[in-house]
Amino acid sequence: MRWTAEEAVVYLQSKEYIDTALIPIISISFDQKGIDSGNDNEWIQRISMEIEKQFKGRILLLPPLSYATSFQKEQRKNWFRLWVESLNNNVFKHLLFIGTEDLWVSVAEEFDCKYFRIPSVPLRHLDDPYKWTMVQNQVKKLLPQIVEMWHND
Amino acid sequence: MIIASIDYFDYDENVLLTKTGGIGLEKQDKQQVTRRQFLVYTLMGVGGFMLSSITLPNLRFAADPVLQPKEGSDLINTNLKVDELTNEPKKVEFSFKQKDGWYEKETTQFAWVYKDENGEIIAHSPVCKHLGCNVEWNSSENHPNMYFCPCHKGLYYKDGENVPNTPPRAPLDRYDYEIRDGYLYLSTRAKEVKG
Repeated sequence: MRWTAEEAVVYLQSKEYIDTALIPIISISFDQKGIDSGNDNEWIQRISMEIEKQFKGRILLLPPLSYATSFQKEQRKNWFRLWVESLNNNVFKHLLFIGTEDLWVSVAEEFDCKYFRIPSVPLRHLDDPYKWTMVQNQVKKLLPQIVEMWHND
Repeated sequence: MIIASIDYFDYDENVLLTKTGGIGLEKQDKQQVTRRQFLVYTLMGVGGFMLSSITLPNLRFAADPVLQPKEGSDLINTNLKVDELTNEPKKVEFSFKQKDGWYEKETTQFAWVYKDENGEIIAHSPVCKHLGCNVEWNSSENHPNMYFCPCHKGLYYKDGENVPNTPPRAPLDRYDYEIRDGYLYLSTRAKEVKG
């Protein structure tokens, strides 16, 4: 499900079936690094939407959570902890974070969440069919991991 | 006298006037369009043009619903030869431009297509009738030769009928199809199967 007018209603009605949250983590900065941040935002969102399409009935795709690159290490951890706490087991059984940054790997581990670190790909000069293929290739690797995660319930 | 005053403004006539010193009969015969007629024609022309520029677009708008292509009725070429189909469901991808409000985007869908024992083509939508995940053919070891939904273990038989006591409550939707020059064309929207 997506967090939209229509699907939020379906989500609330079928809550017991939708036990997994997919949460894109996006960094934002407005200096030179913004170029990468915009690129990764598009890349991660395309992948997340494709995963959601496959597993619509069990995954709720949240709007991307964004953090400023100026956050310090402790602030980042705090920010992550607050989100995990509000999404935690009472609401969702599985939290699936997805992003391009290495720095969340250890943080997610610490809070016992799954984090898919996706290698960043520059999309700027790719045309749409090629972008689509790249997304598909990436998603193909992730789907079995999600099915396996559910299998181990 | 009116005619004379028109002549006065005409250069050629003017020359003629000075030559003959009066209005000759032959000049009046040459005078086929009077100023009055000319103005009337011009006004009718301009008026007609303005009127048509208002009414023609309105007629076009009124006729527009009839001229619009029917939604969902267009069939998309899957680039798959019908000969290649067997009685084993095959994943067939097809892409088309989809309009979302004023925004047009390329959409890719897929279907599970096979030939049944009568040689009839069946094209199932992969969307699970429970909560909309994509089902896969023959993907569960415990349930061979069935469509399996990985989200909540929904099952369907090969003909798309839902297996009782699994979450789905209806059979899989079916795409309309057509064969053109040996290639399989599928509709963009799948239809419900009344069970």
